[in-house]
Amino acid sequence: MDMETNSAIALRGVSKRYSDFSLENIDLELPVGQIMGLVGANGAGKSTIMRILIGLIRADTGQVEVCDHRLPDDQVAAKREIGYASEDMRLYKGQTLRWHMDFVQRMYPSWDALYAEQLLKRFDVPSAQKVGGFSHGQRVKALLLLVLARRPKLLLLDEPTTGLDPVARAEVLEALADVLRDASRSVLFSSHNTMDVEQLSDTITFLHKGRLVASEDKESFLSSWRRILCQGLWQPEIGAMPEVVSARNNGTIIELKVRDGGDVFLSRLNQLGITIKTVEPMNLEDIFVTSVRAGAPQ
Amino acid sequence: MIVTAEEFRIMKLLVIKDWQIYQKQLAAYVVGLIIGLTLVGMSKVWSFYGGGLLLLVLLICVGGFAIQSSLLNERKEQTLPFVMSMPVTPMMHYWSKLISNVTIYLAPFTLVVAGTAFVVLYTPIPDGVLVWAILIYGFLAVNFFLSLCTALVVESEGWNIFAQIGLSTLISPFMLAIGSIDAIHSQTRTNNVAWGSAAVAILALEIAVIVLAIVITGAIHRRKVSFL
Amino acid sequence: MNAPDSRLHYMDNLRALAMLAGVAFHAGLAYSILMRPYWPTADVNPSRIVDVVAWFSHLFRMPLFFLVGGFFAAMLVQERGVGGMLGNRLARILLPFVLFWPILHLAMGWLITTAMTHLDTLPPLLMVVKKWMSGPNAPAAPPTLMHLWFLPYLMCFCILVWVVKALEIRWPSRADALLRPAVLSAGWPLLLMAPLFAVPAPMPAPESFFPQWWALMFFGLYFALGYRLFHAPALLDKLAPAAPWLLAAALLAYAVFFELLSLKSPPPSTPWLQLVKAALQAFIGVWMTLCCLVYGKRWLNRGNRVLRYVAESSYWVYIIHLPVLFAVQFLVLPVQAHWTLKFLLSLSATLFIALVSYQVLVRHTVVGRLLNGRRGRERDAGEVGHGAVVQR
Repeated sequence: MDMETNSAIALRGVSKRYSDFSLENIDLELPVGQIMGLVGANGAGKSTIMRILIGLIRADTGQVEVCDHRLPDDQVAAKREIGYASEDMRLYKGQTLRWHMDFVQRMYPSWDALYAEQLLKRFDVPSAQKVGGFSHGQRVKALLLLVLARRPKLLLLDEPTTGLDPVARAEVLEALADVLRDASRSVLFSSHNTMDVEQLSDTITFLHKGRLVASEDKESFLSSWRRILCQGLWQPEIGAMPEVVSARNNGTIIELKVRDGGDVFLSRLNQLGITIKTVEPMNLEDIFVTSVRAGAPQ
Repeated sequence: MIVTAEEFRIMKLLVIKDWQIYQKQLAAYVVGLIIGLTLVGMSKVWSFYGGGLLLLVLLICVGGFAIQSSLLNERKEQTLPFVMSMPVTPMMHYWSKLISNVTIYLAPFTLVVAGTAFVVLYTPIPDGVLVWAILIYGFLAVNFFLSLCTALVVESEGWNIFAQIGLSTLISPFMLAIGSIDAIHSQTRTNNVAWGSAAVAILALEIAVIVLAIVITGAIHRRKVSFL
Repeated sequence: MNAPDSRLHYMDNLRALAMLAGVAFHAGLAYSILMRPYWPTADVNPSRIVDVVAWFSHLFRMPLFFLVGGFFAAMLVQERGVGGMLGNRLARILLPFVLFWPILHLAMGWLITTAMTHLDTLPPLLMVVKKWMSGPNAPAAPPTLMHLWFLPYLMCFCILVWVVKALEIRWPSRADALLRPAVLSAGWPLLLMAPLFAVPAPMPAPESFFPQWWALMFFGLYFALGYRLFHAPALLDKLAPAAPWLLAAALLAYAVFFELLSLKSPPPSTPWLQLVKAALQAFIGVWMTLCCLVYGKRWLNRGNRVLRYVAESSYWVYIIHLPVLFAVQFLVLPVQAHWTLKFLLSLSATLFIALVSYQVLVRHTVVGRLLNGRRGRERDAGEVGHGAVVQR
């Protein structure tokens, strides 16, 4: 087996320009069986990447490969493997969910009718009701049902939990967690809710203004970032240290957010006459905001 | 274009899907068609004109609403991403839209043209009227195809409505125009169905416009980079 | 009992009977006094007996047929959904019509012209036609649906089933209270009077290519009743005790109706007379149709090989019977014989030719599949039907 077959997604040098926004030179790879969370503010380019991957829009430059199928030439084969659901996608409001299920079932030979019925029960969505009367939560769950029951190899979920009430959000996350137990299933999902991403992902990618800010596996991400509170006199050398991504001082209290700040880094701080009070891990949101503010390249 | 069996199967699904989405209006049109034909068949003057008018109005509406429901609404109501995320190429999407709309249109179109031919040939109306009538029906078909092709490639709803209304306003000038062509007009008073060179040329032009519109929009669609 | 007996044999058999009765009806019209001016094969020696029997059957034969058609449409919808029903009806009704109509049209045209050139004494209708056609600038007569008129109407009703479903019009459950023997036999015919009032009595065949409103309404109501009957199977049993009375009433009413048709000296036509004729036709039609259902269920609810063969062949027999019948009747027209002989001869010759051609050309060929669907193993399992037009 060559390297190719181990990627569910491979983007190389992908750019897409609009008048008010552009996605620049994106390189991104998602190994098979991994769950990647795409984190970014609104307008960061998450949806654009998703749409390029499902073939809804075509990249201006670069190479797009999904499940070993090159887009756009091999898009039919690629789309057969992908389950895509996005926040702005709508179902036919004059038709029932059952009608949609029948339609999708005919489209995809891989449809698992039994699983679909299970999901229907679990999500508690009325299959005989017209989709037009669905609440936002019901709509999201209906979309997810249609996608999941096909058992696709790659799931592309664009903001699946946005706007959901806590109960629906928990249901959706639970269902996703179930799906993710299948090791051959790859998932790329975007969210501006970092808690969801932290809960589900193996890998995390930060996007900001059309650029890739960071892409790493979750554990190393979380373990490499630290928030350090210390006391001492502020010196420009502190800010210049490569590990320091953000520094704030208030009198003699200094707050540092650092990457890969191991013992060596701490002893250097000590050498500068700084007393270390606490070293604590950072949550993803904090890491994300810090990285974006610093415009930190990977 | 070579279509594989699987592509054909998917396109068939897309076409049937469009019909199902449209089925309420379609059902209403069918009722209208039956009423129209029944009125024409009552062989009373008022019912004949009433039925004929109903059929013509239906013919114009059925195309417009089919385009509205299957193309413009799909974009407006954001159901296009749902369809385009399925194993479909832009060209499969294009052909399925073309087929679903054209069949919806051709069913009443054929009925109306056949009904007209029947009435013209088997009533005291001079048979020569048939040529004139077919040219007008041809023009209606041109209108439909141009509206359909516009909707396939132009995303703005405003431009689409403009195209549809603009084309409809051309119907009566067209009727006047071919009425003023003597070779066609003089025929309408005789009992011969004669296709003079002027009539053949106009019909050929109508067909050419339809074919050209389909080819051009197909080419544009092939290069399309966004389906949102 | 096993699966085959769960089939609705009596419906199959009633439908086949209605079609075969149609063949006999057309064969009889050559000897009808009433039809003598209008029927191409009208014989010089018509009989009043033919009129008595023929017009009686005419009042409920096609109504019964459309009722059975509605019944089977409902069954198809239940088994395959509306789309499945429509697909099946398009294949079994519209396609045969499109294929056979042109052939029949040409055959009938050829037969009539041949008869006009070769017969020494022409029936009254052909004399009129001949005179008309020899005139200068004779306008072409519009083609008609001929005896296949029931196919477009049946198709139309099946399409209307889809329309009703698509528009989500539901049968109100309270309306089931109307499906009572008393309402059906006393109230329902009142609805049928409106279309019957609009046409001369006895009602004509709607052969025009343009749908006739009266026929849509008249036969449509029967179709709708049949459709509903499928979902109310107990109704027939409730009707059973009334059947002898309905039969007696229908016969009595027909005696009056026939007297009003009064072949020798018809009373002057007035709206009141027309209303009475419409009422009589409506009531006789409904009562006799209901009787046929009750007695059909009692006596014809069986499927042996002979009955099945008859049911399967009836569609083909009906489609081709008219040109065959006309050909035979043109041949026997100059023969001096009692009408019963000529009638029996032409009828049996027509049935013989139709059945032989069915056995040879249809039963095991693509034509058979076109008309009756797939035969064979599934059929015995009660899955796929045989027989004719309204067949599953």
